[in-house]
Order: sequence, then structure tokens, then C-alpha cells
Amino acid sequence: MILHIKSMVCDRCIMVVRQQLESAGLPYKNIQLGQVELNDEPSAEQREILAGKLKAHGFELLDDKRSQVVEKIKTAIVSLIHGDQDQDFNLKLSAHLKEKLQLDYHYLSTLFSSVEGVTIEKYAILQRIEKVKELLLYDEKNLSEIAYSLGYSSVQHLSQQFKKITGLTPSHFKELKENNRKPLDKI
Amino acid sequence: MEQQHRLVIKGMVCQRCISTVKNVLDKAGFATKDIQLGEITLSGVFQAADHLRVEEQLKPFGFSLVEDKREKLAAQVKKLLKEVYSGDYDFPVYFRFPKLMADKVGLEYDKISAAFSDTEKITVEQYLIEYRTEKVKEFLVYTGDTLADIAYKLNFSSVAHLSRQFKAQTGLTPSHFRSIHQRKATSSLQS
Repeated sequence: MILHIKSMVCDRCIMVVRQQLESAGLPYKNIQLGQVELNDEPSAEQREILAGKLKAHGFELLDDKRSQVVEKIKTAIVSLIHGDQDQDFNLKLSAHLKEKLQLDYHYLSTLFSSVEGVTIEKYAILQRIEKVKELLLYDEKNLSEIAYSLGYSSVQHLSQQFKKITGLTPSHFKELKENNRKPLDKI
Repeated sequence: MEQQHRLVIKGMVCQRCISTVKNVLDKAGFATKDIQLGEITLSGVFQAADHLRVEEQLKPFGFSLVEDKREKLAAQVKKLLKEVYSGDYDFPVYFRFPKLMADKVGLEYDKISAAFSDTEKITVEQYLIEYRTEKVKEFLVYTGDTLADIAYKLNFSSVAHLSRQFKAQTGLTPSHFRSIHQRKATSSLQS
């Protein structure tokens, strides 16, 4: 029995979801970003309780097939951009998603746009800009290193995209000293 | 003013991360004033040991602390200063601490100086003067070195320079300072 959960983006989310499952007394086989595999089918009442517990932490149970696929796309993009493993930038996003979800990209793209109101590409750009913000705040890498680590073809490309999305240049953003980061699941 | 300390934390990306960090810090007994993605502000006194403790507590959850570049710079400057004004340093002719510092750190003096003033709330020059004065006190009390010796060891241009700076800092002349402490030492022996 697989449950689909919205808004899981990191290891802490997995941890919190695990705690909720345990406190709801539901045994599980495994937990990944976006989905949980339960040993048994939960009763309607158990499901209700779990949904309530999850909601308190900003998660949501997804019943709708379409939203489940959209969430899978999001999870794939978030793990790709924010995950620990090195990305293969030669692989196009469309190819990556196709491989991950085993579904036709055209279908995915139309579905995503109609449900979310933004295209997959745009969503990926927003996520990547968020990663840039995070790295800028750490003040460990300079802009060209950041551009390189995120697969931008050049610093100019990154700066342009950053300015277009945030309205600020990366250096201006850094000087602001204000924290303008967004939670990943709110993008 | 109430003391505050800002920490930059690596790995925070969502609301759950914020609540996790908050729980961990609460349990460890830190007063969190503000938590945002990637940065927290703690109130109260924060020491180097606390830094380590926070790091250890957060590590199991996949977070780490980002070392502040400016604080790192300031620490580097202090370490260098300690080395140079230890009493054993072989000062070259025309020695200038700012120049040595810029060479060692590999940044322009203005940048280092600005970072130092920002994090330490005291300029490098003032810190140097205070440090050197403390060192003079140490030599005065614990060694029998003459003022000329001390001036030489700590690279004062002359005994007059040392005395003037010492007086400006402490209000006492070096010899007066020495006599007070010797008197203290002898009286405590007698009693």
C-alpha cells in the first residue's frame, strides 16, 4: 500500500513523516521523498488521523492521480538540484524525468503545466535559483564556482537568470544580508 | 545591549528543517531568538565551545555550520599577532605588522582590517596596542628584563615609545607598575 505525500523535500521531512507514522501506529516498509509504503491498507479512520498529523507539519496526503504524478516530478527535480549526489549536466531535464518516472515527457509536461500553472522548465529554474541563494548565503564559493557547480554555462547566464527571477543581481542579494530564502516546498 | 550570536547553518531547506533545528537547540539549552532557512540568531553569551556543541548536536540531522569567513580571518590575525609578539620573534628591519598580515593572509590590508573591526568590535591597531601592553606587563612581572630588553623583544622603536604607550594604556609608568607588583609579591611572601 503506497501513500503519496506532498511537500517532502529533504531528510528532515522523511524523519518527521516517520515520527508521524510511528505515533499513528502504522507499520511501514519504507519511506522516500514523496511516498510511503505501508505494510497494510490503513482503515479510513487511521488514514484520517495520519492526514491530520501530517497536516500539522505542512504535509498533505495526495489521492488524486494527477497530483501524485506532479509531486513525483517535483521530487525528482528537487532531488536533482538539491540532492547530495553530483549531477550529470549532460543529461537533459526531460530525459532525466522520463527515466525517473517512466512516462512520456510530453504527457508529463502538459500535466505539470495544467496543474501547477508553470512549466516544468520554469519550475526547475526557480529551484535552481533557490539553490544559488542558499550557496550565496553560505559565502563559501564565489559566483563562478556556484555557476559551475549548478551546471550553468557561464556566470553571465546565472546572473541574468538570477536577476530575472529575483529582481536583484547576485552580488546585490548577498549585500542585502536579509534572508530571502524560500522553503523548497513553497516554490 | 543583549548579546546575540548569528550562525549560518548548511542544509536547511524547509519548514521541517526549521522545526528540527529549533528542537535540537532547545534541548541543548540554547535560547534561539530567530530561526530562518540557513541562519539562526541565538541570544546570550556564545563561546567557542558552544560552537562545537551546536555542531555536534546538529550533525546527526544532516546539518553543519558554515564557518564565517570574517571570523576566520579575525582568528587568523590574532594568531599571527600572538606569534609575532611572543618575545621570540626575529623582527626584520622596517617591520610593519599590517604588511606582514596582508602577505600572510593573502588579502589587502583594508579588507582584513574591515573584517576584523566588524567581528571583534575593535580595530586591528587597537587590538595590537592592547595585546602588546599585556605582553609588556607579563615581562615586567615575570622576568627581570630591562625596559630596553622588553622594547627590543616587542619591537618598540625606543624605550620612550614603550613607556609612553604603556602610560597611555594603563595610566602607570612601566617601572611603577613593576614596583607595585614586586611589592605585592614580597608582601604576600611575608604574610
